Order: sequence, then structure tokens, then C-alpha cells
Amino acid sequence: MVDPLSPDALYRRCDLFKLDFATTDELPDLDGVVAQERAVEAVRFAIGVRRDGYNLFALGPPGSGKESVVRQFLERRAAEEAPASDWCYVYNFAQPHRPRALHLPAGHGAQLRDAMAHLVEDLRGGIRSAFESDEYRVQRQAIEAEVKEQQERAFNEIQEAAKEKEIAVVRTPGGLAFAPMRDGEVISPEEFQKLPEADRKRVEEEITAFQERLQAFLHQVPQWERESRKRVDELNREVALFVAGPLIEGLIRRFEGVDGVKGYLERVRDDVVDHVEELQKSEEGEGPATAVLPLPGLAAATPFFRRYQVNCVVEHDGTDGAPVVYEDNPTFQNLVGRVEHMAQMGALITDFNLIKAGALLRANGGYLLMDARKLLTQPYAWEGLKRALRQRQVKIESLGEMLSIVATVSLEPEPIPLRAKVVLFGDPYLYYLLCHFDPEFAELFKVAADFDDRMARTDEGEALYARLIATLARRYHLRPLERAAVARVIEHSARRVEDAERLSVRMAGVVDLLGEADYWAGEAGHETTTRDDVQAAIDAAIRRADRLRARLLEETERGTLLIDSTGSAVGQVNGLSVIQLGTFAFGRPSRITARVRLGEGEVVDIEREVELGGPLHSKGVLILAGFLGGRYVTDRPLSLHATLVFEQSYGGVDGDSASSAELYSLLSALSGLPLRQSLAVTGSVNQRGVVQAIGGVNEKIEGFFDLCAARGLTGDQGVLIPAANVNHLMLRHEVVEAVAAGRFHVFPVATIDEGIELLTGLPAGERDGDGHYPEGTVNRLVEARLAELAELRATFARRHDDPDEGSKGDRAAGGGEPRGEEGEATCSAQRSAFSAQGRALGGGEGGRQGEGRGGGV
Amino acid sequence: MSGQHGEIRRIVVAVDTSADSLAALHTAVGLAAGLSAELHGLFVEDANLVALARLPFAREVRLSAAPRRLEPEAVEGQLRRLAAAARRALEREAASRQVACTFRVARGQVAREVVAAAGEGDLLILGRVSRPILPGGPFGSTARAATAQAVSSVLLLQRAAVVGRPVVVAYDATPLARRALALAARLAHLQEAPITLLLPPLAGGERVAVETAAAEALLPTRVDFTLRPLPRATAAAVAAAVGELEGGLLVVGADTILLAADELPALVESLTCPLLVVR
Repeated sequence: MVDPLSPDALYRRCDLFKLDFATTDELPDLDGVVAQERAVEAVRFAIGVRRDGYNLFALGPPGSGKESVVRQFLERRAAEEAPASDWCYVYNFAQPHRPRALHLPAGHGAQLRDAMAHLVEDLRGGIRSAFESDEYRVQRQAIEAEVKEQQERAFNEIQEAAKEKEIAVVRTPGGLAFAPMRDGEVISPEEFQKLPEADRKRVEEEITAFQERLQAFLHQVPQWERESRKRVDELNREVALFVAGPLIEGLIRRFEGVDGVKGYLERVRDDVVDHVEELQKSEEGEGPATAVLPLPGLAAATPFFRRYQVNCVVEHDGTDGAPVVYEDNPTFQNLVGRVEHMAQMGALITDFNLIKAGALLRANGGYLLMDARKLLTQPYAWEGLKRALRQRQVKIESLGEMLSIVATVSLEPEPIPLRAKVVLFGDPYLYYLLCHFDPEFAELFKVAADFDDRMARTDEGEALYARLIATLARRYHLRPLERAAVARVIEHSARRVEDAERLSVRMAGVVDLLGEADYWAGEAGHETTTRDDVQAAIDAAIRRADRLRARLLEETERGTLLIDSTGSAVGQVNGLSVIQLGTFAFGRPSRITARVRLGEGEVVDIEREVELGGPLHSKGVLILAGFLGGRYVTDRPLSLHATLVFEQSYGGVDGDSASSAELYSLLSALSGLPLRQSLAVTGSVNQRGVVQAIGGVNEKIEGFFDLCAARGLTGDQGVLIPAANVNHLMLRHEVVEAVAAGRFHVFPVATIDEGIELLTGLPAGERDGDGHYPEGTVNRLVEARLAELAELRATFARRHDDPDEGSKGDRAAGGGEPRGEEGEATCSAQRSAFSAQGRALGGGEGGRQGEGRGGGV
Repeated sequence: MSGQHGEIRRIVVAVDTSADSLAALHTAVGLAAGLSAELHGLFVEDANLVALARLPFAREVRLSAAPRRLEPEAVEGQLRRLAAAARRALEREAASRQVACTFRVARGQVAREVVAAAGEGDLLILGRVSRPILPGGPFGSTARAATAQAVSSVLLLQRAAVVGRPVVVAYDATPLARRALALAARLAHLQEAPITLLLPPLAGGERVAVETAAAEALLPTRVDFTLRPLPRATAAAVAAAVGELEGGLLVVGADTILLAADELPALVESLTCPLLVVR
């Protein structure tokens, strides 16, 4: 028989003698990262490799400190790196709808923006003064007067020449005409006819000549006016250049050596000279003829000077090193950037001044940090990020444009080269999902930093943990913790990861506990936080969350939920399951029952039949058939039909931790031996009958203990746990005390044989030299029953093949029934227990989340 | 030949359908409404044009195409249509300000007819009658003839009148100058604009007398006024002063000592605002 565990094995206390301080005030701050060597190495590697695709995915459960660790590293590294460039968007004088991007050394972007704002002010003043000056007016009037005079002179010459020949110019409704005059009046036709033939002819010829001359003059007029306008334009350009030239030269000198700025400023100068008339109109408050955007009629009211502004979309002051940007709301636009619009005359218009940078640009030259889940839940944000990383450039465009569903006139800002390292934070399953479903993911995020949620609980580990607690207490302005309080926090940390030899490094939970303990210390009027305060915090947290647990316990006590904790029964065992409600988990016993009869080797999982059982549970059940067949009936067919069920289970069941309990109930049903109901069982089993580790062992033990304690401990009650789980025990002190007093027991069981001995009180039995189990052993009874069933089946099959033998077979089969009835057994389990696989993959706190479905009670 | 005490009771306006003429018409209607005067529109059919059209070789030179033959019937028809359009424009403008108006078509030499029609009212208003193919050219013979020969006051709207700018008046204390000042004060009052008086370069005592007379005349009108002596009595000095003051209208007596008699046409050319010659 297996001996129960000693109280020491149930709870590993923190050795106070090894914590060498009175309160946490004496401990220095912890500078660095606790127990994340693998992840830290990955982070260092990702930061160090300057190649495409070496972006980082930091995976780990929530609260594992991945964000703070990565940030800490990045900020330290970024501070040593060269500051990132400033990026500005400026007007594209050749293609206004494609704003140009300028990159300048850190700090220069804002300088250029301010300088251009001043330039605009200076230009406005300078141009106004220049064009209002007498010098300009005189020159312009001179040009206009010259042309006017030229026209007048030419016309007058014609008029005078005509007058000399007594021909006058007469206004007609549509133009001018020549007519012979006498005494200031046009000669009448009658008088004209009286003139000699030669005179008439001469007059007509002369008039024709004048008409031609006037016609030629009229053709010349537009040409003169064109020339006049051209000269005025030239004058305007000269004056504009006179004003703008020195101002812009000054800026060119100021930004000498900065790529692209000189070219831009020269284009500004040319544009000012080309558009001096628009500038004057703009100055007068009229709309410019050409707007910043080619939107006819709409942008007319846009101040013309906007085109000379500089939109500094990314600016740095040049003292902070490379940027580290955390984007908390990674929508597509917040990530890539956007082009805003403004309403004007009822329409939406835009220009390059309304381009806004996204997080990618702000982080350009540095690091961009984001939460993977938030990123993936934003429409198109993930695609936008991947495109930018793949193309190594950021192209600001609206979603509508990207999807080609909006075709309005908008801007196409010049793409900006991207040189940022992206860090995503996320749960491990997100990482694995992305690896599996997105072929680009592995290319773009080549480095994974896998953050652990636990650390080894060695003496050094505990000392480090104490310093961590001290650091957190100071950081969050909490009372110092006494040594015993620190010890309790450490012990609770081990309990949180369900491992006496490990400590949780999920800081969020530790911080919460410290904060709550500090509250209770305050309530108690303590200067420092004591062990009792920590315990009060733990108890209060449980108390706040355990309404349902209390309700279930109450219903069990009242007999609504059927669980025996005394006596014995055939085919019935107390299984143990864990219910997870939010962050609170608790164990509760469930009755598992088994019934057997003649069959074809099926072990039917009723939970699965009604789709209440998960795949792991089904797997556990199927293993039982393997175990039975392999151990007891290797030379003949397994000829039973067994049904297994979790009694009073109305929710779902998953996990294989009840498989040993199911096997015990099955063995009981087969052997007809009753099982002790004062014991509860947990553990999964393999086909060889080895009991394997499960999760939630502490909660399960405490669940059965609570029931027994409520009914009154009898002294022979206890729980069978897998021996592999002993290291995971961090039980409540009530349980430990009860065990110490001999009123409750925890049995570490390595095999099914050990378990069945405890449950039946009979030896399991081992095969002797002849391959037989000894008399009076459980295995003997089981084997015999299975052999009997096989024989019955064979007999039945023979009679079925030979119709004459039918009645005998029926009787024989019928003869088997009573045993089958006796073998009926019921056992229970309300919900799932854990699989050892769950522990291995997800680990204690996190691994449990996927299990335990909604309550069925 | 203004009404008693120089009041304007009947305004004659020469109209055709050019843009300048329509602008003049608009101003005339505004003045008639402000001064409670009635309006008389005159459209002159140019006898020279009619005669020309009857000549066998009459051709019209146009901006757009080759010279076109002028047919007498076509010219007559055009003149009739223009007169009708001018009448409609006058009646529409007058009705909009509830001004009483009459309209007459005359045929003859344009300048002669306009000068003659000036005698039918207290004020003759002429817009620019420039050649259509040479916009911006100098005032034509009609304006010159009217300025020199009309018996009534003449308002030459060679440029648009700008409401609100100062009314500038040349003042030398002669009876006509006093009448000009009274009219200017009335117009300034209508436009809520100040008055600036241009004074001739006079010696001390004489100058004080002129200034006193001006002040006495203006004080009862409650119009803001400024006195500005001119350095020289020439058309150029007057035009320069008006330009500097950004005057909205220049009012002069026909006999003002600030100008020689033959300087009026030159003044018209160099002014940047309309000119009102008071008789």
C-alpha cells in the first residue's frame, strides 16, 4: 500500500533564514530582467541584426513582462543610436497631387517649416511693398502708356492721313468706316455722284487703301498688347525675383548641405516668380487662379501661400536617439498615416498640408511596438503593415484608395523609405496561428522572443524574487513588506504556477497581490505589510470570486449533487475536476460511474456520445480499452461493452485527468469490488496503467477537502494524485494542518495497481510464473470476468452461426447478465480535469484557461 | 443753366448700348434718385453713318473679319434696334429706382445733338464713347464738345464713380465755384463722403477770404471737409492732387481760375475719377 504524503510534501515553505532582511526597504532595486534569458537573447539578436525581415515577435502570456522587458532594452539601445531623420512633405510644383517627401537631419524639419512660414510672411510683405512702390508703378505705367501711345499714334496717323484727303473715320455699330467728308459731314450719295468720274474713282481707291491700312493696324493691336503684357510680366518677375531672391538665397545658405532642400527652395523661388500675380491676388483676399490642388472652382478659396508651407510630418529634436514608438491603437490609418480633408463650400478638399504621419513613419529609423491582437483586429492594419515592411516604404493612402472603392481626387504622397524594426507582442497561440496561416509572417518576423511565465525556485531565485518584490513595492509606492510577508508572496507565486519548485514571473499578478496586501495593511493600521496582510489579500480575492464554489458545495451538502464521502460502492468513484471562472479556479468532486455487459470491446464515453466531452476526454476513455485488452485479454477478443459517465454533468468535460478514475470504476465494475468513497481520484493513465501528471492538482485536492471538511473529516478521507504531481503541491494551510493531524491524506500514486489497492483495500496482484494473477487480488477478478465475457461471446457467436444452438446461447448469455448487473457501477465527475499535455504546453496558470467549460449546475 | 440756386431738376443722359454707356446710365439714375430729379435719355442716330451707308463703296472695318459692305437698310435697322435697346435699358434702370424718365431719339451730328440736348436739362451725363475696337482710348469729340459748349453742367464718366471716396471740389469763391461747392456738398452728403477743397495759390489775405467763404458755405451742411491749397494753378496740379487724395469725383466751376479754359480736355484725360463741370 502506498503511504500518504507527509505534511512537508504538501506545501514548500519559504525558508525565512535565507531571506536576510527585516523589510524590503533594505533590499536594493532589481536592475534587469528576471529569468527570461532565452527571450532576452532573442531580443538582443533581433535588435542587433540590421537586415530585412528581422522583426521581432515577443510571445508570452499576459503579464509576463514582455512589453516592459523589450521596451527597456529598446530604449537603452535606441538612446545610443543615431537620431532618426525628420520627414517633411512639400508641394510638388510639377505634379501638385503628388506631394514630395524631404528628409532632413533631426531637428531640421521643424526649422525648415518655421523658416518657410517666416519666408511666406516676408514674401507677403515684400511683394506688397514692391508692387505698391512708385518705382514699380512708374515702370508699369510707362510700359502700358508706351503701348497705348503706339496704338494711338498709329491710329492717329491713319486718321490724319485720311483727314488730309477729306476722308473721315466714322464709328459704325460694329466697327469703323471711312467716308468722304465736306464741312464736317459725310458727302451724300447725290453729291458724290456729281463728282467727276476720276475723283470718284480716286476717292474709292483712297478709301479702300485706308481700309486696308486700318485692317492691318487692327491686326497689329493684339500683338502690341501681347507684347505689352509680356513686358509687364517680365517686370513683375523681375520685381518678384528682387524680393524673393535674397530671402530664398538666405535659406539655401542656412540649409546648405541638407539633401534636397536647395532644389526645393530653388523651385519655390521659380514658382514665386511665375505666380507673382496670384500672390498679389491672394494678398488682396481674392482667390488664386491656380489652387494648391487641381480642383476647379473648389480650391479657389484656398490661400495661395499654403503651397509654400512645409508639412513636417515627423520631427525629432535630435537629442533622444532613435525613436521608440508604441502604437496603442494600431488602426490602418494610425499605422500608415492618412490624408485629412477639410470642408470647403460643401465639398471636401485636401492638400499636402493635411498629410498626417502614422506610427510607422514616427518610428522610422527606430522601433515600432504594437500589440499583435490589437493589430490583427483592426481591418487591413495587418496587411498595411506587411506591405510597408515588404516594400520597405510607407505609402500613405486612404483605405478607400487602397481597396479601389473610392475614386475621388486625392493626394498620392511620395512614398517614404522605411527603416524601422517592428516589435509585436502577443500570446503564443497568436504567434503559432500566424506562423501557420500567414506565409509572409515568417519572412517578416524572423525572430521570436519566447517569454516564460515561471522561473526556478532555488535559494538564489527566491532572493532575486525578494528584490523584485522590493522593487515593485517602491515603484508602486507601497508599504515595505516584512520578511515573512515576502515569503508568503513567494509561496503564493509558486502556487500560482502550481509548482512548488517554480515561481511565477507574471508581474501583473504579483503587483496586484502587493497592492491588495498594502490595502489590508492600511486597514489594519500596519506600518509595514505583514504575512497576515498578504494572507488577507489572498483570502479576500478568493472570497470575492468564490460564490459559485460555495453554491456547489452547498448543493452537494444538501444532496442535490450526489457525492459520497464515506462508505463504498461498486463501479463508482469520486473524480476531481477544476472549474475556471475568469481568473479564479477551484476544484470540485464529481461522481463517475461505469457499467459493463457483454459486448464487442467498446468502452463508450457517454459524454462523447452526447457531444459534451472534448477530444482529450475521449482519448482518455479510449486508452482504457487499450489498457484492459493489453493487460487482461491478450489472447482473445475484449468482449465487454462498458459505458462511462460523469454523473450530473450538464456542461462540457474535457481533459484526460479523469481517465484513472474512470479506469478504477471500470475495474470495480468488472471485479465487483466496491471502491472507497472516502477517497477521490485524479490522474490520467496510459495503456500500461501508469498514472500520469495532471494540472490543477492543488485545486482538486482542496475541492474534495472542502467537501469532506464541511461534512466533518472522518480521518480516512483523502485524495489519490499522480506521484508526478507531488512537486506541484502548494496546498492551503487548512489542508496541510488536517494532514498533519492525520485527518486527511494525500496519496501519491504511480500506477493503477497502487490506486486500486487503496480504493479496494485488496492487493492488485501480479502475474505469477504461470502468468496468472493470485487468488484474492483485484486483477484476478477482473481478468476472470473478462475471460468469462470473452467465453460468453464466443459461445454466443457459435450459437448465432448455428440456428439450432440458438436457445442454449441465449441462456448462456442470459446467465451472464446477473454478473453484468452486479458489475454495474457508477462513478462521477462533473467537469474536466487537466491533461498533462495541457501543463506541458500552456503551463499552469495559462494552460488552465482553455479548460473547464461553462457551468452545468 | 441749372435750376434756381443751382439745383438739378432734370438730368439728360446720352445712351447707347455699350457697357460704358450702361454704367453711365446707372450712375445717372442713382443721381436722379438722390437729387429727386427727372431723367431724360437721348439716343443719337449718327447722320454721318446713315449718309455713309448710302455711298456705294461704304465698307465697315471690323476687328474680327474682312471689311464688310454697309447697306443703308441694314444700318437703319441696326440703329432702330440700338435705340430700342437703349430705351429699354433706361426704363428698366429708372423703374428700379422709381425715377421719372423720358426718352428721345435724335438724328444728326452726334456732338451737335448732344450739346443741343444739354440745354434741355440742368445736367448732362456722358459715358465714355470710345471706339469699340480700341478700348481705353481718349475721350472722343463728343465729350470735348460737350465740355466746352454745353450750356448746362456736364458730368463726364470716363471712369466709374467710386462711392465713399472724397468729393474734391476746385474752389475759388466765384459764383460758379460757390454753386459747384453747393452741388459737391449735396453729392458728398448723398454718398456719405467727405469733401476736399482745392484752393488756388493765393496770397495771405485773399487766401483767408477764400477759406472763410468756403467754411461758411460748408458748415451748415455738416459735411466733413478739408482745405488743400494747390502749389500751381494747372490741370496737372489738379489731377495730381485728386490722385493723391484718391478722389471719387472732381467738381469744378466752368470758369475756375485753377484751370485755363483750354485745359479741361487735358484734365479729363489725366483724371482717375469722373469730372463734373458746373455751369
